[in-house]
Amino acid sequence: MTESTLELPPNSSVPLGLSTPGDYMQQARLALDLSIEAVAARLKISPANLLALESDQFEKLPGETFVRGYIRAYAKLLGIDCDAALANYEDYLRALRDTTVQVTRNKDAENTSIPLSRRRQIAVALTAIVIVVVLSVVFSLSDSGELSLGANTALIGDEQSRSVEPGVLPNESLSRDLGENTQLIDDTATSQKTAVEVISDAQEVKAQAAATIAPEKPIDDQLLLSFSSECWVEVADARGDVLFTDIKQAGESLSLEGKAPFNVMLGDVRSVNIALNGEPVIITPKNKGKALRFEVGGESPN
Amino acid sequence: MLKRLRGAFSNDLSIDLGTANTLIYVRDRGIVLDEPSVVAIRHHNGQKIVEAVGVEAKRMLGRTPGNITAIRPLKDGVIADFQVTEKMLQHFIKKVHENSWFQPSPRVLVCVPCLSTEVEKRAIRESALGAGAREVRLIEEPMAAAIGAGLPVDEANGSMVVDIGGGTTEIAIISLNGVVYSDSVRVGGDRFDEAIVNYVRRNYGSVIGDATAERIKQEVGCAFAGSEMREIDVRGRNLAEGVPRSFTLNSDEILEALQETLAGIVQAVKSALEQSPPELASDIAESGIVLTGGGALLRDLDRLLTQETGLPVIVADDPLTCVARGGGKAMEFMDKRNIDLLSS
Repeated sequence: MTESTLELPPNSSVPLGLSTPGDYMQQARLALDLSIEAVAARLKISPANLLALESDQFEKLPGETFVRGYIRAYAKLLGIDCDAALANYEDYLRALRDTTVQVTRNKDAENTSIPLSRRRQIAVALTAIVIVVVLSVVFSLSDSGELSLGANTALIGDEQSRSVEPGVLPNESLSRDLGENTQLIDDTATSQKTAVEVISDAQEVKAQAAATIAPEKPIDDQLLLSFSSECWVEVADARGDVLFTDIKQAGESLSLEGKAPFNVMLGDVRSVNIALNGEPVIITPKNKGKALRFEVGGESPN
Repeated sequence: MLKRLRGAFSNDLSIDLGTANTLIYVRDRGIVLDEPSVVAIRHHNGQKIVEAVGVEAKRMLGRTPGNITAIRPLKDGVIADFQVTEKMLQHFIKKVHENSWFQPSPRVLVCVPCLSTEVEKRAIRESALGAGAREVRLIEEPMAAAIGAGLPVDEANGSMVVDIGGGTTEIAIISLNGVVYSDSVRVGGDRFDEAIVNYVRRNYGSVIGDATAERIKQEVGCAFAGSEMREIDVRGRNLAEGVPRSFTLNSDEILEALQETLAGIVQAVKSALEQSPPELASDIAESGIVLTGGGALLRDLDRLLTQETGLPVIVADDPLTCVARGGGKAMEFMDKRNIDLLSS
């Protein structure tokens, strides 16, 4: 928002609907060909506070009462309607509040309401549970396997000692018993194999979870703005670089690359469609045709 | 016991008992009453009967027959006529509770000038109790004004408020919910009116009433040389001829008439700044001085004070109701924190 971009011929009427309160004041001041220092000398408000007022950084000023007081005093000095300037300020604040709520709500809907850190915690907890279950199964099975093997060996010993019994084919009974025992051993081996499979499955789940929690993030985000009527635009990215400042005409579109979240200011928010990385961002302020400053793609404030 | 029962059907009121106007603020309902502090009394067989209160009574000011007197029971911010003040408060409290079946018995917070004496405070307290209040709390006017104007009074940050009322101008520097410095000068809207009456008598040889003087002040009055010039046609009684005459007054003449009174306010503000602790003075220099009260509506008074003090001066939103609104907020605060905001 530089002074050179907003020069107006003297005595021109400032369009109220297309500017933020700060812009409105700045345009009126430039129309009267007054410098910040001259205004500061008249109102005794420090130039820093005046600049904060003109750039809509109201949080840098001493408080709501003073912001309103400064706007009133400034408007009186510039010969513009105090009530209109204050109404513009109130509209701006209301629109800013509404949009912050709206953008946050949209963002939540996009993220299916579970944040990344939460998803990571869930994945870790699930993996831990799977490992514990698998280990307990393995231990219990291996314990029972040892026991049955021991019992079978004892059984074999008994059978061998009993082999002197008349009328019984010792080899036959031994082979039958051995066959049963082999089957038991086979069962144990199968269950152990299953346990190994479960472990490998768990590892697979873990790998999948890891893949879910660490998606590849593009370094630069893309913001696309398309205009249906004439609109003032200013876009800055998270690094503080001002990417674009100008008026766009109806039918034009604007593609910008930078780091999200983008700080966007629009003269007429209703005439613009916004998309971030190909996904549309819906902004619906309640008052119509008013200027608006908001963030796109930032973390929610809550 | 009965009062407590009646209290259950009454609202908590914050009353700005001003010399010129009385305002009552009710929580969740806002300003519910804004009427001139005027009472018209009819004398009948040695008895005094209240004829009218508020707007009706003000209309009678200066226009009453012999058996009716319209008086202002407060003078210079304090009670001048105890009984009449009580009657007036009673009338206003009843008016606020018009829909109630019971006789109201509200809790009341009344704003008092910051340098009022114990006797004056007691007079206000007792007149409110006499008017049917169940419990009376007092708060200094500039503190209420600062809260009503939305200043950050609870922060460790100096705020300066100048409340120009009908009878007095209250100046205070506030920090951490307390008054660090306060001063009260008996200069206010009434003095402006008097100055205009005297000016017209001296320069036009005509007498005008207080109500006309107030109208002149509101329409063409200004406090700063170089303001937009305005004119007004006025009718008054010519002293030499004894008949009503019409003449025109302009802003410059009114500025000249108000010069002395304005100098009193400027002087008081300057002396407050001189006596403020340096840390608070620097806070005030950064943010500025806030004007409240009906006097703040005098055109370009903020410009005059800006020029004289070299500090930013702003007029609060809706300066007339700041004190009453601030009193309402202070009452909530006192209930919540169980502390009193009266420093003296």
